[in-house]
Amino acid sequence: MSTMPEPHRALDCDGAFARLFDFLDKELDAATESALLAHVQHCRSCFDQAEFERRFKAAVAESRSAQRCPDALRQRVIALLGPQREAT
Amino acid sequence: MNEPAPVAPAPLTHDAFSALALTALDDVYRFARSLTRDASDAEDVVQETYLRAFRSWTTFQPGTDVRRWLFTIARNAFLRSRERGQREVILDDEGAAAADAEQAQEAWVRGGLDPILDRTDLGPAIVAALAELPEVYRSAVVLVDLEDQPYEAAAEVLGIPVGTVRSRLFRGRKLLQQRLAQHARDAGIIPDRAAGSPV
Repeated sequence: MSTMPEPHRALDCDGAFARLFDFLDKELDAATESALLAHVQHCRSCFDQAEFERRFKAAVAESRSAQRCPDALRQRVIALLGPQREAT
Repeated sequence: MNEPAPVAPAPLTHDAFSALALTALDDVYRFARSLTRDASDAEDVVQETYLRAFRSWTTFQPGTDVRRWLFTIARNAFLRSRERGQREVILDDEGAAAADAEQAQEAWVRGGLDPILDRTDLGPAIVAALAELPEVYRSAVVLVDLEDQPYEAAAEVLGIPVGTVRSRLFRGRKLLQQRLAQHARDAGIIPDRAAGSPV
């Protein structure tokens, strides 16, 4: 069960911040998302905070490309397939 | 108009499953690195994960997310490898790290990171900063922010409630921002003068 507060028609800054990460992670229902967007569009401080967290999340996602499975390990994993195929 | 009846996904052949599972190898490796913080240990976890997956591939439900299935196997393989004491040590980090995160110097961190977040060469610094996080936070951040898993999937993989995923994500991200700001400052990317000093 979610520990998030119930959605309200209007959100104050604390309410918006409490839901910000759920919004960025696409975990909010439509009504709460609308309420959060309405607040952020009229609150410069919350807009700046939301924009910073959005850009940070995007930068972390982008770091995926900096870490890939080494080729030698890939070959060892593929080699595991041989015995398994024979066993099935 | 009659709706077409839902069609169950066709059963997979072993070769089809293998090809599908191998598409997730980079993702499983990244998750294993996040769990172990050690390249050699991560390779052991990846091999064990795929060995188990190839042995029990008939239990995989076609049409479901193969990454979620493999992440769960990887997490179990990691925990089994750390059964003798290590897990308790990792979980003990949570309290200290939470206190650390709560004391994040928000203005300093945000002011320092804001100008550099769009740089294309930030990946290695983020990977290094992630490696410094306690496992409980690292796993949540990796699953949701790098592997794009929903909270419910991350909760299943980690064996914790969704609310705990949410709180670990919050603390983990704040801690990661602190670490990244420190890395960037040490590397001269953020000038001390411009960012000010941490309190």
